[in-house]
This record gives sequence, structure tokens and C-alpha cells, in this order.
Amino acid sequence: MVIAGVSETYTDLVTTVFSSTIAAKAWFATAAVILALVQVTTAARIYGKLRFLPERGRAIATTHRWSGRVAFLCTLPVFFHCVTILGFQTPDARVAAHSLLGTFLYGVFAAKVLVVRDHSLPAWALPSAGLTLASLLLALWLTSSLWYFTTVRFGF
Amino acid sequence: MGRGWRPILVGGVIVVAVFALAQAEIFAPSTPAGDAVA
Repeated sequence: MVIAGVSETYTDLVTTVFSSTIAAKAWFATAAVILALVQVTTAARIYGKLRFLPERGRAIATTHRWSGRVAFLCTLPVFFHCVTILGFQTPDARVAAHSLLGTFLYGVFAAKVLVVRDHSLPAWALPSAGLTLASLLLALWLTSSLWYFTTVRFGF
Repeated sequence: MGRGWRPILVGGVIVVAVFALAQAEIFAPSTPAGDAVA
């Protein structure tokens, strides 16, 4: 069956590098969270905070944009596996919280991107949207990757 | 309705779409793979 084959093909592809699809997700999510931290740090610098960092300017802005783009790319394989293969599950509190929070990730991401482009919104809108997105990603990491690294295994 | 609603509306539509996609589990294998959710 073609549809069942997608899951198997994805698993075969991912396990050429990682020990399992779960390990792959844990590491892609970890990369996304680290890049989200870069996002928050560079955004804070753009807003005039964290003065020990390099001067506001092109380098900070470029780092902010590219860390966001790469973070988004890192979430795509995680999204593919979580949403199209595993689906929304509620067997225990951790998985239920992860499923619920994960449902909101791309909606919050889209809202944040629209807020960036809309200069008519109040000044608090953009940092609020950005911090909501970063917090959501962190909560997703805590309910998945951290659980995997601490209760299953820490490795690729 | 002011422009501030646009990000919330678009975001909300995407949330609903992702939830529907997650419920559909379109690429779920026909037999359980024994994979935990992480």
C-alpha cells in the first residue's frame, strides 16, 4: 500500500543517520530550540538589550533571520513524523501536553511572521509573539527531547 | 475589525488545519511500529 510505504520509507531514510525516528526528532528539536535561543538573544540585542553582545547592525539582523529560517527547517521532519505518522495522542499527561502544544506551533509561527511584517501593530506585539513562539518550542522540547534524553537514551 | 486580528485569524486557521491533519494520521503505518511519541 502506497500510504503505509511513506512511513517505512521515511523510517529507512532517517535510520541511515540516526538510531531511530524518535532519536532523529529529539535531535532536530534540540537544534530548533538552540536556534530559538539565538533568535531570542539576537532579538533582545536588536531591541537594545544585552549590550555585551556585538553592536546592533547587519550581522545581528542577518543572524536573527537565518537562525529563524534554519530553526523552521529543523522543525519540518519533526512535524512530518509527529503529525502525519503518529497523530494526536493522549495516552498520558506528557504526550497529551506535547500533542496539544504541538498543534499550536505553526499557527503561532505564522502569526509571528505576520506580526513582523505589520508595522501598524503596537510595539509590544512583536516581542510578545516572538517570546510566545520561543516558549512554545521550549515546552515542546521539554515534553519530548528532554524526556527521550533522560529516560530512553542520550545519543544519536 | 482591525488589522491586529489578521495574525490571530491566520494562525487559528493553521492550528485547526494541523489538528485535522494530526487526527487523520495520513501516513500512519497499517501495523503499529512500536514507536513511542517523543
